[in-house]
This record gives sequence, C-alpha cells and structure tokens, in this order.
Amino acid sequence: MPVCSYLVFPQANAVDLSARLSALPGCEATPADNADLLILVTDTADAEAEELLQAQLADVDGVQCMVLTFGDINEADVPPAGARRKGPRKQPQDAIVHRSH
Amino acid sequence: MTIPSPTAAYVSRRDFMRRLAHGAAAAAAVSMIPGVSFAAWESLDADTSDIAWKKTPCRFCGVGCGLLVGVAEGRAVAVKGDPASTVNKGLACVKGYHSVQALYGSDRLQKALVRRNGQMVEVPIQEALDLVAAKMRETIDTHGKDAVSIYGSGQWTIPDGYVASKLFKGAIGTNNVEANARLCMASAVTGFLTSFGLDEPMGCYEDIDHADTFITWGNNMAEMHPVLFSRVLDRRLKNPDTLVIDFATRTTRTSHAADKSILFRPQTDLAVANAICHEIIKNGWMHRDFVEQHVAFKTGKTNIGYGTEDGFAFTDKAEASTLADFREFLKDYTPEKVEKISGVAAADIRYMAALYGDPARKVVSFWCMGMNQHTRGTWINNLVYNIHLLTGKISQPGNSPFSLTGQPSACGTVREVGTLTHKLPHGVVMNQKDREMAARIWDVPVENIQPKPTYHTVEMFRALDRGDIRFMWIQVTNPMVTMPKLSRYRDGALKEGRFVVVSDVYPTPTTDIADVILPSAMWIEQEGMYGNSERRTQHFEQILQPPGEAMSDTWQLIEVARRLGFEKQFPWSYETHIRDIWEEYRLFHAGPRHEMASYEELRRQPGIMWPYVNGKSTQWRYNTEYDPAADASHGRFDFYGKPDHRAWLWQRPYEPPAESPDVDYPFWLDTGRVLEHWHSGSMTRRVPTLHRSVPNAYVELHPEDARRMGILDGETVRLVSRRGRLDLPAQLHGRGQPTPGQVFVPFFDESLLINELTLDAFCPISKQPDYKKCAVRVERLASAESRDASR
Repeated sequence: MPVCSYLVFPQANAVDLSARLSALPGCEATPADNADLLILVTDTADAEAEELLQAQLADVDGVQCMVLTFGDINEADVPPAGARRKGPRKQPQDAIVHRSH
Repeated sequence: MTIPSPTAAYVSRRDFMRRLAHGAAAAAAVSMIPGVSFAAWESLDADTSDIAWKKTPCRFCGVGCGLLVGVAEGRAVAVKGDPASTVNKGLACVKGYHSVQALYGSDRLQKALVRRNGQMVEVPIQEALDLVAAKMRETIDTHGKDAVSIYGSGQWTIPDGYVASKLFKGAIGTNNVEANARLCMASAVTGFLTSFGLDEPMGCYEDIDHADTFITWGNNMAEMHPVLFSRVLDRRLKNPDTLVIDFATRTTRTSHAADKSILFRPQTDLAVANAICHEIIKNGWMHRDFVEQHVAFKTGKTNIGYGTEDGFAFTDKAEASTLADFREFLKDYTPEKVEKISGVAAADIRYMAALYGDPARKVVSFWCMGMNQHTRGTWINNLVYNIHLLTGKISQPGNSPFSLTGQPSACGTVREVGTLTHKLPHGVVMNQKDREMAARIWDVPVENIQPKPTYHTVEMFRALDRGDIRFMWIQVTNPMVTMPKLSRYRDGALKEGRFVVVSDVYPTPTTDIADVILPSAMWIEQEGMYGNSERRTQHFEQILQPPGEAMSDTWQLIEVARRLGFEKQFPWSYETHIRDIWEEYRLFHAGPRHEMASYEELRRQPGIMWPYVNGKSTQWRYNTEYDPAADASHGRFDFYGKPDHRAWLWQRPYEPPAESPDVDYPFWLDTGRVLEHWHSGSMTRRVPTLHRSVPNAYVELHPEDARRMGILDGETVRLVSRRGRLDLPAQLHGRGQPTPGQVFVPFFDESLLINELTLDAFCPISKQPDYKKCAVRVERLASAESRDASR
C-alpha cells in the first residue's frame, strides 16, 4: 500500500495541472500559494496499482519535472535490497574467555 | 483521495502517512524556495486525539532541529518540525522527515550475539554483558589496562559519553577513549583552542538573521545542513542586499544557490585566506582598535608532517609575533601570487577581501568537513579566524566565524564531555588540577587518571593492528566503513587475539568483525541529551520501547562497570540514572564560562545554550554585552580563554597535502556525503525512500575528463589509488560536479567502500584525517580488465 509524495514543477499553470493530477485515482495535488510548484501525494492499494499510476503520471501533460520526496513506510517493508554486502567476517576464534569473577 | 478533516474523530495511521508524505514534500519545497507556502494542506495539519506528539532533537546532523514525533499505539507514526524550536522554526529536512522510519528496519538488532565456533549465535543480553566484562578483565590482567579501549561517537548521547569516559579514564585508568568526532571535528576543536583557548563557536544560529554576507568555506550546506541553509536563503529573500558566496573545490547545490561560486584547487584555501588578510591590511580595512586591544600575534612550527607513519608525534610551539611580522609574512600571499597556487582569479580574492573588509557588511563564515578534514585543518581554522579578527567581525550579532558540526552531539558529547584521549569533562588529562577535579567528582583515586594521552583514533586502530590494543568496544559508529586506508584497519581488527565488541542498531561491516554484538536502543527509545553546533543542549525523553533486548549504550556501560567491580562509581537506579548522570556531569562545568542548565530546566525548554547563567542562555561569547563570563575591564570584548585575554592571530603558511596527483595517479579524490544518507548509511539505507533516491555510491567526473577518456554517464569505471581499487558507476551530470582533474565519491555505501582508497594522513595538531585529498587514477573498466588479464 504505497504512499508517496512528489514535488511537481509545472510547465505553465500550477492550478490547472493540480486539477488534472487530482483527477487521477489516489492522487491529491496541492498548489503552492506563492510559487509555480505543487505537492502531489499518491496512495495506491498495492504494487500493481502503483505501477499503473506511475504510467498514468508519466502521460500527464504540463509537467516539467517531478521529484519523489517520500515513499511509503509499511511494516511489511524489508530492508532495501543490496543494503548489506558480504564482506570479511571474523571466523576462526570464539568469544570464549576464562571467567575471572 | 482526500486528506481527512482535522475534525474527524478518528484519524488512521494511514492518514498520518499521507500527512507525513505531504510534510516531506513541503520540507523539500522550502529547501528550494524559502517562504513557499501550501495553505490548503497546512490548515489540515492539526493534531488529533489519538496521536501523542513528543518533542525531541533530530538524531541526524549537528544542526539539532527540534522535531515533534507523533506516537500511536507505542509506535512512531509521524514527524514534523517543532515550531517552538528556535533552531529550525518548524522546518525539517528530508532525513528529519524520514527519521522515525529508521527505527523500523526489519533486520533491527534485537538480541545479543556472541561468536561461537565461528558463527554468531543469540544469547541473553545479560550473558553477553558478562562476557564483555570478563574479556575486559582478562585483557587487563594479561596485557595491561592500556590494552582495552572504547571507540564511540558524536551520536553518543551525553550520558553515553560521560559514563564511557568515567569507566575507562576514571575507573579502569586508561586514556584509551576516542570517538568518531576525531574524524570530523577535531580540527575545529584545535582551531578554537589555539585561537581562543576554549572550544566551540562564539556565535549562534541567530547570526543568520543579522548577517548580510555568508561565505561557505568548502561547505555544501545545501545538502549537509539543509535547514540552516534554508534560513540563509530566507534571510536573502527578506533582505535583498544579502550575498551568499560559495568557496569550494567542487560545484554543488550550494554553489547553484549562491550569488557567486568561487572554485579553488584542493588545499589552497590556506593561501587564499592569507591573501584575503593581505588585501584587508593593504587596503586599510583592518579594524585597528579591535586588533590593538584584543588580538595577539603568534607564529608556530612549519613543515609539520602528515602522520602517515605509526607513532607519529608532533607538538606545536607558539612564539610571540607582531603585526609588522604578519605584514611581512603576507608578502608571499599577494592575490596574483595566490592565483597561481590556487586557481582563484586575483579579482575574486579581492572581491572576498572587500566583503570581509567592508565595515557596513556583517559577515558569517560557515565551514564543516572541507576545512576540518584537512592535513592542515587546524591552520585553516586559524586563518579564517584571522580574517574575522583583523576586521573585528566576531562575537557580535551577524558577525561570526561559524564551525558547523556533522553529528547531533559531536559538541555535546565528544567535545564537552571530552571523549577523546587527552580530554576530561573539564580540561585535559595533562593538567593536575583537572585530574584532581575529575577524581573528586568521580570518586576515584587521582592516581587512576593517567596524565598522558594514549592513542588518537587513527593511532588507536593502528595499535589494534599492531596488537598494543587487544580489546575494543565500539558504540554508535561504523569504522569499518569510515576509517581511511580501511583495509589495514579491517585486517588488523580481524587478527587473532583481538576482541571486538560492537553496540549498534543494525548489522554493519563493523558488526561483521565483532566477537560480541550488543543490540542498542536508538534515539528516542531511551532518554538522553544531545548538544548541537551552537552550544545548545537538548533533552529528549524515552518515547518508545526499544525492540527485543535492545538496551541503551549508557546502561550497557553501567552494567559492565558494575561487573568490573565499580558499583560505587556507577550506583544509579534505572529510573533516575539520566537525571543523576546529568547532575553529576554538570558539576564539571560549574561557573559562568560553561554553566549548564539543570535537568529540570532542560526538560522544560526546547534546548538551552551554555553558558546558562541566571536563567539565561548566552548567545555571543566573549562580548561583555552578552557573556556573563566576559570582564569589561578588558574592553568591549574579553577573550578569556587565553591567559592574556586576547584572541591569537596565527601566521600559518600554505603547505601542500600529503599526496597530490602525479603521472601515475593524475586525479584528486574527494569524498563526502549526500543529502539523503546519514554518514555510513546503516540507518538511512533502510528507509526505502531515501535508499531509492540514492541507492548506491558513484563517482562524479567532470564531463570534459569523461569525454577525453571516452567514459559514458553510468558506465562502470575503476578508481585506483596506492592503497586499493574500486569499481563504481560514473556520474557526469549529477547534483555535484568536480573540477577537471578531480573526482568525488560519497562514502555511505558499504558495498562500494571508497575508504579502501583514501589515505590516513592527518593534521599533526588535531590528528584528524584528510578525506578530501589523495591521488587516484580513473580507468575504463574494460581497459583495466583486459590489462589485468594480460598480466
């Protein structure tokens, strides 16, 4: 159930673009009061719906640039793939000592 | 989708996720366009009854932003900037907004692990603590007390660092205490000490609201201190005369936001700073009254080495000098001469000098790693102070040389508690009176506290490699990613007869070399305090329960201390130990120069700046108008850290770095950080959004170099230094761009360890390594592999 947010820079009018984006399923766009810029928050049911929405967003006219600023957090999230590497590890000895107390 | 109304009786966690997402976008927007507002959603951002909002400082960089963490059903579900915090005034950066997600990575360490038959096996944490204590005792009995050591962090809370210092220096009796702030802030410390006799900035963040000129010295503030940089840009928005000058070796987001970007060749900031002084004096811009009344001229040793050999030792010696001597010294630093060394146009040097020299301008200089990770780090700190001292632009609102810190408590814990080999919570181990004070407060025999420092960080890991140190306890840091010339120190730690304990929250390359892994409580899973860049101490309460058997580093140390027989020195109850530790610790700082607030005061306020005297924070030290310790008999300013009550202006020449490009290794290698990742990435790489934003390290190349070598954007290339090699993708048009002949690699990626290539040369005064300058060659991977195959 991804929740994401984006900064969207319009080619022309932020208010018009905001209306077009908000018309997409799971999308809420908020234009800035004092700049040509808007925030888009997306909320989709699953990875498949997210993929579909991404494709729809790519087809929206009037977007100059869209920057991801937030991705979902979900208890089911796993650590990012590749975050750990396989490096040298200590192998031969054991952490065993003679107890002195 | 509709963001729910604040009047809704129930707001789900998912609704808050959407608000969090909105907040992160707003933070990014504010970073780019100061003052931008989104009233339509801000009106919806109201508290609800099922979310408890708790205040805490952010646990990432040294800015010390105040955050409000939303907690529901025992879990942190939302974050927003604290509007009551004078640091960030409600703003937060992308790391801050994602900070609580770093608590919930699925491979969070929850149980202690002990190596048995070559495998790490889970054991109850009390059994692991028994083992740690027993191994320490055995090592001391067999090899002596200087064979055990602790290596901590600027992410230690103040109580963490305090009990570590008390245990090792006071109870056990070894000065083998170091912290990773040696790698990031040591040159700032020695810069302050040599120029002013006391550590930490004289000014505060409010300087931003008074200044009209900001000069960043090798400091990519836009990415490394984004909230403070937003305040700088906001100041410019409100005061159009404001100028931001970025003086750097590489073009960054800070350069793009600045009014002017000036690039210099690595290491030559020394020469440029002297040239600025040359111009200030030559043009009559020196504040003669200030200099005559408050400045003493000094010289130190030159040709001071680089520390690349084991056991390197250096002690500087201050000699009295004069303004006339200084003028003579500066004759080697005319703008035209320095242009040849630095690549900076003489006109640009004169321009910067004119900004500093203009009596109508208020100037703040900001710096961080660029000046501190420098084989002449202490010197370049001195030289920037020289500029401010010559012009009298110091210790007053809007005129401030400002050393920024990288970690949330590099100042509070490492510098103020003194978790470095030579330091005590008050003063240094070399001073008899300081040792006596520590022995009295710690209730240990004064003979326990050794009068000689042992190993600074690089030398401590060399000692582990040599076998002089046999036991090392590492807490809240990841040296197997961050040490320079890494392979030597990793191989050393893996040698037989070394015992390494690691306290951390996630598996890392450092836990990979551990014999015992202790699961730590993280940030708001414990009570504690951090101290930020502007001398502000911030308390945070325990907001969440740590997972599994995870335990705070403070309490781990107390448990081991008691097992070693030091119950008398560590008597505290679990319920009140943070209060008791704080009240004991602040005895060290009693008096108007460093008075700390009481525990109750810290709990009440969103941070307090020391010296805290008569219920008031001190914003500008050494200025008699603001600083209760400053004595007006010395004039408007009293630099009381020095016995002559003057600030010391040092002659420090340009000297080349330890290693420079040559025929075999023709590129400079510069390393550093990116906005999205915290240092070695062990936390932020577990936050999906941050990880996806910058999933791996890369090498920035100048497009001209890439074109000449036939390297395409994204192509894997090989970097080779005299110490190692690394294959990683080329980035030609990213957010940063090095100058031709230079490459840049971020160090957050444990899969692409750039520190295999870096050099362990350091500033001989601060002992801080230089991660910004060594020599490498760049090879197209196909060419490199075919050549290797033919050998």
